[in-house]
Amino acid sequence: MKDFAHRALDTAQARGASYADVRVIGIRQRYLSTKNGHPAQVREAESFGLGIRVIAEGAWGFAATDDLNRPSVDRTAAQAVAIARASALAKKDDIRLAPEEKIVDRWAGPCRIDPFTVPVSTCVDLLLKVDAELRAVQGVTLAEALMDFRRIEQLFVSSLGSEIYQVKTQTGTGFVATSFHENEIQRRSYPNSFGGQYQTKGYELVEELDLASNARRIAEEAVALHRADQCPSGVKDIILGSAQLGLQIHESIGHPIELDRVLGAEANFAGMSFLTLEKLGQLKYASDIVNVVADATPAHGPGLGTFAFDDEGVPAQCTPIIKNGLFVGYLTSRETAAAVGQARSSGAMRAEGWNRIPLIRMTNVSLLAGQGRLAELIASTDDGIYMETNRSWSIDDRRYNFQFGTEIGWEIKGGKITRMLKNPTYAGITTEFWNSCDAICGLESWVLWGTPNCGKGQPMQTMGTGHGASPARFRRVQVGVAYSE
Amino acid sequence: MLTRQRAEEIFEQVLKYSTAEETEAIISSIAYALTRFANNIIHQNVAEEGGSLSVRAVVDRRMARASTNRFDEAAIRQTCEAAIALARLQPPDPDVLPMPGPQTFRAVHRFHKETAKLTPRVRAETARRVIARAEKDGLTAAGVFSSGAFAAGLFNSRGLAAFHEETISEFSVTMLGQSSSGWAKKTSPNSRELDPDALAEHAARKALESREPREVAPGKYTVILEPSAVLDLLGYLFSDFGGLAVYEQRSCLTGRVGQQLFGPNINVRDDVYHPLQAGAPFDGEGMPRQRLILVEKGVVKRVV
Repeated sequence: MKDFAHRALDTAQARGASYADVRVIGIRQRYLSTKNGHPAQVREAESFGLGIRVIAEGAWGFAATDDLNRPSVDRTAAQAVAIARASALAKKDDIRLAPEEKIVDRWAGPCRIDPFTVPVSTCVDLLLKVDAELRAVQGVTLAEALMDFRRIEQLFVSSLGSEIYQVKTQTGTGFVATSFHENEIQRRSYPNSFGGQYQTKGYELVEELDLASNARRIAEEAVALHRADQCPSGVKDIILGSAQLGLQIHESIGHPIELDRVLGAEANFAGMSFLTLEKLGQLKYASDIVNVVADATPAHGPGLGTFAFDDEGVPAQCTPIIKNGLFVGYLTSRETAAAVGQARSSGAMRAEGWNRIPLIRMTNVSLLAGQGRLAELIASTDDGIYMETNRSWSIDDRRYNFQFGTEIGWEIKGGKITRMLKNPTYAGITTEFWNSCDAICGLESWVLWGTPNCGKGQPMQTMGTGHGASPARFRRVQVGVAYSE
Repeated sequence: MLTRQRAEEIFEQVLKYSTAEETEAIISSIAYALTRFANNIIHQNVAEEGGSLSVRAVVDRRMARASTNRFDEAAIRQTCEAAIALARLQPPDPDVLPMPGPQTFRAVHRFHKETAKLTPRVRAETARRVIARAEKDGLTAAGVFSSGAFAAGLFNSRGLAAFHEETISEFSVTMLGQSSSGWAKKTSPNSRELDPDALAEHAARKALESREPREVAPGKYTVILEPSAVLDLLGYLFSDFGGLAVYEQRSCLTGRVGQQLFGPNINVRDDVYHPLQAGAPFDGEGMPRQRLILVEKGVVKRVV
């Protein structure tokens, strides 16, 4: 790894690069899934490669290869420089990077049980056990369960002299019970939808989640949803479960704070942001009790956005985003930090792999916990709806208007859960919604959720992000919009 | 770039190291580059090359897959062994079908040398022209110009052998005004068919003509949608036309094949051989792709 990385660096500089950084990455993945009593996908994959990013003639170039030998590495480095010179044909100013120090360091993420040492048969047996529990409930027409393990080893070197080696293990697991009945499809997922829960840790995550013990309850809810009443339309107080709130944070806070999006870099694809620069330090983003951070440091927890150094060699940081409701921070890079008067990048540059450039990405964008328990929050709600587990999402390309659907809801009347509701949806304007937050549960119910496949960039790349949240209440929200007459 | 001969050599190695009852290998390579612009400058400019070997092994109705991006003999051996080891570790699946034998494929010619050789300079000069068009009307341009080539071979131990190579190119542009925007895009295996200048003009015209839009109240209106907007709506249904989705009852078409679900003026066809289409003449199992009528006069005729 090291030889090729330094060789690429040397070649790029010899060819005229004023700055260069190289990532050599090895990724190993094991994906196991079952469906209706049988193994569905059982696969292993490995990928090794090198990507070099350069500045030459004041503009960016990048090239990547998986052909790791000296001639190929030389060719790739030279290609990156040639691409940068082509970029310079359409530049206005030279790129300037916020200063960084040379760093030589190593880091390994938390991993108590190496998932690649857990026998595949053990994993498949557990998935089939969950599957059997799900299909024991009459009315479940499709039972799906999965485990997804990744190990990512990365060496970063740069023309600053930095040399950083990091290893991360990521685990994801979950299951879904789908019920088809009279032209209606209902589903329930555990512990979260769209793949389950993902964290930067080992197989211990699977043990912590106790999948099998939760299977029957989830399956029964999937079937019961057919008999449930349709979520009413109107203006209601809502309580969002922790997992749904994690996605709400992702879409309506995490994305609009990406400074490259604000500055127009994603205008042709992922979109822009309503958080234009003059709003920094001025906009009342949320109510006074809302505090949000973007925290990549290991102290925040084993989130998908946890690391020691980003993909520009900048140390992980905790960046305040919303402080007592006021908008105070963006996610930045070495190139964009100056646009908001910062002397240093917030360390949010991340790339999917060796063949993609780093982009400003969420790390762990989390709502800090408040006080109290969910039961108390429900008891203090006179007329509302509790919604759990995302089913659909829609938000405009500036992250301002949104509509979400969840898998299940429960009506709250006089502080008590009454009936189950199906197809719950709610809609809002980002800042109005967050300013309507009047209660956030405490640490006891705070979970650091993982979104494994956030998409951005051209060519597209996906990234894992973390979002910590406790259940929270929002007053006077438009609900039931998708199914209203 | 992977050639058919090289793909066959790799598969020979796979067969040498695989002790599975049935073995399939998908061998591919890609060389791809993309020039991206925003705020009237080129802000990202990338290129990649890479390959992939994916081995599917079947042992006594137990199936698993292992992949690598290395083509050396040691990696091929390790990948075969990993696929077989994984397959052996799970219970047999009675639904596993035998792999297909040799097939005949209709020829498609989607490789254009000029597209494969498109340089960063050509892409950058195109971006510069498009940016100049934007600046002429005080607009801001963002977009991409990409080009490349890929090749893929699919072989199995029953004698099926399929190979396809294709070039790819795309130009898309968003023109932003103070109160409006316009977007245009084209993809083609042949970069000569993109016409970025015309796309830029189209996007700019939309941005200029939609300046100072008025708000309209929510309600029911008759709208005319551009083709890409029609695809945005229809595209959400495509996965529901999958036979597996219908069989597993997670498709909105479950129990509805044969019914009139759309207006009588709606016809939907899956046709990889259409001159504007891209892609290989075989699917992921090596079966020849066919022209399929999915919806005819509003009636859902079949799934894939």
